Amino acid sequence: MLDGEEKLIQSAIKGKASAFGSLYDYYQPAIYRFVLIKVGRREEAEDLTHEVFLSAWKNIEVYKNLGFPFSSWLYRIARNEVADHYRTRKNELCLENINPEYFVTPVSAHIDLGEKMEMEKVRLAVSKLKPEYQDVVIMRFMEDMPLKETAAALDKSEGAVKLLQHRAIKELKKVLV
Amino acid sequence: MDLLNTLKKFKNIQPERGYAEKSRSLVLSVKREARFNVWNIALRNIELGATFALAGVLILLIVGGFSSWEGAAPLYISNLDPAGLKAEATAIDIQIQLMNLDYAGGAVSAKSAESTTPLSPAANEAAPAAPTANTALPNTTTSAPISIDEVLLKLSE
Repeated sequence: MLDGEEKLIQSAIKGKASAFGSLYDYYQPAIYRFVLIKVGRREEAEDLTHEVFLSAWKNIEVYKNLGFPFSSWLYRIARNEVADHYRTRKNELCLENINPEYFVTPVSAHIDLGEKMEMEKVRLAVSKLKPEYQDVVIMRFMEDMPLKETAAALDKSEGAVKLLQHRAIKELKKVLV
Repeated sequence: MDLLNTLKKFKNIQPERGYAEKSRSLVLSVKREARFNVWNIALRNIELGATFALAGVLILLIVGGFSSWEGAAPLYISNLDPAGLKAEATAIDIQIQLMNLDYAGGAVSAKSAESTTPLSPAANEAAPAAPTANTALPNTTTSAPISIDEVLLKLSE
């Protein structure tokens, strides 16, 4: 959680763009990763991430009434955006038909090629999981999100998330074998 | 492969800086619309009410306003030609003058007939012919079809 997040949110609700800018700077990379791993294409991930934050900025007043962490709210928006994306482009997006060069994993330079290939393999395996398994893997294992926040973002109980993450990892290992 | 360790490496993925900056500025440049609160709802209701009231007044003016307007002011229709109307009115006036002329012509002939009688008895013989000669002009104008222009010409002479 960002330091002084509550104050920033209140300022953003009052219309202070710079306050929302700080929230954007802090949460944008995580939301971008979440979207990228789910859609697999950098351009689409950029567009969707942009839409997520645009929607968040336009509707930030709604947030205060929901009573869970800001990151969870952003993930909820992102999940909806991705779902809409797949709904509207279902026929176009077939993983087998996409040129592999569109899959981008722009990791930092210190990761070598072997690691990148390994990551790509895992990413492809994650993309084959059910959407809710994907969500829980990304939030809990990639982003290290607390259980409470993950539960709020997925609109599930903490117990349900624990169960879900266990099944997701089991399924992921099965796909990777 | 250490799956959990590999999954953690995904946290190193970062969006391109150029994209992030552009997206940020675009998002923040969007002006946020005011959400509904009591004041906004009241304001919107007033706006809506005023809109309906104005529309009602306009409809009343269009539907029922013409009759009262007709009484208050002359109806102006663009197709009406005031010059043509004036010409017609003048023509009517001329017709009346012509009728008067006819009447006057008859009177003149009667007067001339009367005036000729006491002058000389010999003229009595010529009397029936005299009025015809005197009233030749008016009689022809009334019996034979004659144009207004001709009549005006004759009147001006």
